[in-house]
Amino acid sequence: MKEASKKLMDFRTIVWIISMGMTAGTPLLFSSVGEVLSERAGVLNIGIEGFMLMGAMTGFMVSYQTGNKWIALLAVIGVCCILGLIFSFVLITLRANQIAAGIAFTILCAGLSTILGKPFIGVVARDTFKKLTLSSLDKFPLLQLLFKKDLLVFIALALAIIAWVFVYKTKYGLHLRAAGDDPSTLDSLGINVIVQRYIYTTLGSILAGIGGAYLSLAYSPSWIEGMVAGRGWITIAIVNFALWNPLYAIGGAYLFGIFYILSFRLEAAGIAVPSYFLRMLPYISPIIVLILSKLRNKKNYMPKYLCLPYIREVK
Amino acid sequence: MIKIESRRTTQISTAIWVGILSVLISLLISIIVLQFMHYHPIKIFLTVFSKTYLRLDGILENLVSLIPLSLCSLAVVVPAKAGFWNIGVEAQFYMGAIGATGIALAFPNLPGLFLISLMLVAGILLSGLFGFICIIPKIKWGVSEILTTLLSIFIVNYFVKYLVYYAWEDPKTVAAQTPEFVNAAKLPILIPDSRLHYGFILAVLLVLGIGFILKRTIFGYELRLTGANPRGAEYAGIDIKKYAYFSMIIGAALAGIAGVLEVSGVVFRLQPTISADYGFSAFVIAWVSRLSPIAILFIGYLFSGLEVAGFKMQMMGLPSSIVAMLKGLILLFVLAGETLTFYKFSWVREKKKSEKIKKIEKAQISN
Repeated sequence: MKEASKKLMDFRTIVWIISMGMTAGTPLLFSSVGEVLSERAGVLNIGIEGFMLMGAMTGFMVSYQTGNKWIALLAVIGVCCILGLIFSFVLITLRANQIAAGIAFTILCAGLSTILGKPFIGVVARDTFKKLTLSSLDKFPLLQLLFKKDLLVFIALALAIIAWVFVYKTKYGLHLRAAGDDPSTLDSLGINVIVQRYIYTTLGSILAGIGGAYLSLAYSPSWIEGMVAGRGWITIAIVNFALWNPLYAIGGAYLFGIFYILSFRLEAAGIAVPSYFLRMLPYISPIIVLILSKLRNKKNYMPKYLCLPYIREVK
Repeated sequence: MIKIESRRTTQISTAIWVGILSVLISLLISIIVLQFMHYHPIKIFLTVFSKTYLRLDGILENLVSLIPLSLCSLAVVVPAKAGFWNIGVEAQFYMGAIGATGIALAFPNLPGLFLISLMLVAGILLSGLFGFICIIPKIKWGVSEILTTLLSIFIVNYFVKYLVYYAWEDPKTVAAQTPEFVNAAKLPILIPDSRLHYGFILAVLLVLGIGFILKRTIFGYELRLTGANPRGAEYAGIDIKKYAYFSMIIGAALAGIAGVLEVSGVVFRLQPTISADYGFSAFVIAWVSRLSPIAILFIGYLFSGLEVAGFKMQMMGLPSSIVAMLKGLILLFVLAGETLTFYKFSWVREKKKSEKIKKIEKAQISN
């Protein structure tokens, strides 16, 4: 009897960790779906860390000033749309080096978000995304543990599934994939590669911004400079690990969310490793997981024209 | 419509113009942002920049921060020439500092020159090894070095925190730092009444030396060939993997030297804040200099002035992150402007087809 209850406890702990991992993975899921779209279209958006920072800052600022989280989310979409268009212009039209420009954009956004967000450090949030109340699940504590979350968690999940259907099952998804895999054929079909890339890079930027806003409006409702803490870089690892498939990105995002939770949880569980080494876990695990996945799967799923500007040959 | 033709050559004069224009536009944008935040940017900018660039003590102070910045930029350039992205310079810088600190704390009784050389060797070994570890996943399993180097920054950051809060903690103070070095572990000052230490000479020699090696030796030629055309290099019998490893190890070691010089020449102890974002500044400097070691010295000087100005602006009440924003903006504009130097833009008016031609075309289609 005792053993059974202990097992249940363990099971409960595991479910708890998975559930917390889902929450911690939600910002990663938003940004990963966005990054999948833009990388599928052939644009490597390394500025994703910057977009997440701007999203987090804008979301918190607008929510504080208007007292409405939905308006804040709209503002995040607007700001990241404008920034995404500027970024796309530099990458796609001006054909700047995508990696260098992405890092430059991140540095710029890190500085800008710190300056603009300075008055909001240490301020208590006014309107945030709260956990849904699910009274019908009262009888099932484990289910409640898994599903008692804020609305954005489910929106992220739905977005990933919609993105998968869009990318693999629709005509427009085919165009999107072609923009990254075989742009000249797409161009010869009369579809503008440049426009395709603009659309999906901007969409990716917006989703990254929403991911950042999730951090400052739901996950830890506050604004601290640099609060994204490398989640943008981890996103790029997730996309790689998920083989550029939005559906696999769900697994990747939640997996790394679980690593985030473990890095705090193992310390409380009394493991004899200094906490600073446990905190490295979310940053070491993407590298190790990627190496393991490359060992298993030798095939290269990367879009063939990723990182290459599209230049139409004029004869 | 706009017609874009590619140019075969880039004129240096156009490149310089693009650079100057980028800096001016970036300054303008940051002034607008600060004005929007109700600061008084123009007045502060003028006093701060005249203090940092026009007065002797300001210039010497710039040279002090040019030491780590130039070495860190080289750490970006060498792997970049071989076709690899080293974005984790910050991590390698700290690894060098950790190596030097370990030696300085472990052997405080050694004579000065010997101790400092030992610190240098330890820093080089530790950071070089770290760079080597970062590039292994790329060569062996194809995991992008961009990811490993970027994520390594966070890993090393926590390692440094572990050292200063836990393992090497200074028992005398509550601040996050190791005990101060003994005098033998401190680099002598080059110019009296300033902070400019002998590391400056080493840094300049290293920049010129690496520039020479890259440009004028077989090793440098093969390294650049590996970066410019990996397949061609392989056909020419060049061991690409060797250059991949070497470029990264050399780059990381250079960043490590910067870390050693910073702890033994300026800070005299390990702190989690010894790098004022040198890693990303180095990335900006390297790319604004278009990966030319000689240009790094000049562009690096401009940016180290910016770094020094950042501290002064903070004292005058401006947020110091304006410097980060400026750096990002400048690099973004320089990269965007690169198109202007590589391509020629011209307006081409689309000729309106006359009615006659249209009729002929229609007839052809219907046939």
